[in-house]
Amino acid sequence: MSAHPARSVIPETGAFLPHSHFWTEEAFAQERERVFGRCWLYMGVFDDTNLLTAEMAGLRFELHRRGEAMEGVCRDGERVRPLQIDRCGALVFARVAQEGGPTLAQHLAPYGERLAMMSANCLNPQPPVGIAFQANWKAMVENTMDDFHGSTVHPDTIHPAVHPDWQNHLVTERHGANSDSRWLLADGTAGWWAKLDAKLRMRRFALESFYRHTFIFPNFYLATFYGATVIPHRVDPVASDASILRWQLFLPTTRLETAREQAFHRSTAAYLIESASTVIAEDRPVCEAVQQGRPGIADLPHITGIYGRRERRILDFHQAMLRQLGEMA
Amino acid sequence: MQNGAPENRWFHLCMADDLASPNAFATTRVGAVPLVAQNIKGRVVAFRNVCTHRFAVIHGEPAGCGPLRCPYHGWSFDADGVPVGLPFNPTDFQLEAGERRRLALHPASLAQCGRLVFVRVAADGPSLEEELGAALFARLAALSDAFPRHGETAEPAEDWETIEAANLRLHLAPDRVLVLHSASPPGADQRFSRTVTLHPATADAELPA
Repeated sequence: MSAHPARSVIPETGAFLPHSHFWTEEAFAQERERVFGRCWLYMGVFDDTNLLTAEMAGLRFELHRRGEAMEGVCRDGERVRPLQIDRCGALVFARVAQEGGPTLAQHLAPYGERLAMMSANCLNPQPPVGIAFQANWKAMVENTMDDFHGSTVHPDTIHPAVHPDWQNHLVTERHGANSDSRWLLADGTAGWWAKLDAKLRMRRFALESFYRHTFIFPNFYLATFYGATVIPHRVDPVASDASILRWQLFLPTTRLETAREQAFHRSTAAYLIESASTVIAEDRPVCEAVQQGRPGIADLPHITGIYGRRERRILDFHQAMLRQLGEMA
Repeated sequence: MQNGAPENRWFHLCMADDLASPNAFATTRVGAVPLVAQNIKGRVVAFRNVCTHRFAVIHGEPAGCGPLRCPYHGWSFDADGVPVGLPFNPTDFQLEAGERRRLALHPASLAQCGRLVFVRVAADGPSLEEELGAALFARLAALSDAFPRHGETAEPAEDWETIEAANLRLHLAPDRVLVLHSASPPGADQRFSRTVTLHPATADAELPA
């Protein structure tokens, strides 16, 4: 890998996933077995139904909670395998039961404690949302870890919501497969949240004016705003060129007693869901443009892309995928 | 690439007039390869329509007018395909001239026959005239010059002459109208097919009685 003296990286072959991994059935089958059939995967937050289900790469995960006990299976056609299930605070993760491999705490490192703390805000759940993309799931993961397409893709949504000097305020931590970025909110945005807080008395896990984005390999990220609202996201592979981004808004309040408070909470949650959906709708065309573009240069080995200072998390993801795909059963 | 493969063949893209104004562009797809032809400061050039930064298709529409700028991170390219506008270059990339040239868009072949513009994925291979044959090349060039004016849509009739060349089918009513149907290349969506109706420089209807 050749690194620019200061900032950018032009990766060499072998340091990033081959382009074909973004559309071939062969790669999809390999990921199904070695990534989604082995890794710890985010399943959701239990509600009153005590059931969680998920479908990723053709594998169906079914989880039940009975009191404190959790159990579940992974269905792959006729094949049914038991799941290992564990929690990180309110966040429930599972993996196909196997000998060895990391514990959930090891898999989440170094973010386990922070995620558990943030997950205490998984209160007042809103209905889960799923948005389909005609793109490989990894194109969406790349997009979500890309810290600098705000001005071009989200000029009227995210871009004005973060601090005008976002470049100097953006803090990114990279820890191999997992990583985190935090953005200082614009004064106006922070003020909007402060007014909301005054009305709803939100539960806050931290007194901070950040938008945080914590990514956990392979396909989970937790977005938080103002140290209060948490939005777990999961990118579900559907086919080699199709995925669904699933997310759920939690707007945690400490005051939801009167009908007026409940109505205000409902309308605020609806507004936030609409805003988040608008942002995702802006990301969809560029993810799909990448899906269309990659096959068009796959025969040109010298076109390897380039990863700038704020794109290294993406290359970390590629390298984690290569390790995971190379791991023997 | 094999000789008979779509990547090695010429495909009609558009009329030269479609690319006459600065920033005008037309796109297509051949197999898996998106292509773009674009007027950049008066020069008409053709490239793979894929950004070399993170591989997004640059122009998503079949035709339009706008700079050759990637919608994802705003990289823009000059007539040599070299990225010249890189947002955050001083802080994030620090690419100098030589490194930018390394990240140039991959060129595609471009040829004109009269006012008909053709593109090919492969950089090397027979010329358009060699592929079409000299006689057909000359006929197409003459026809495209004789029918320069876009006009009211016409439906070809059975007694019109039909000429086929590459992905083109021309329907000719002599001295009256030329309907030109350009099929989308293999692998391309139907939205990349084009039909235009062309009229002589001075239509009969406009002649003095």
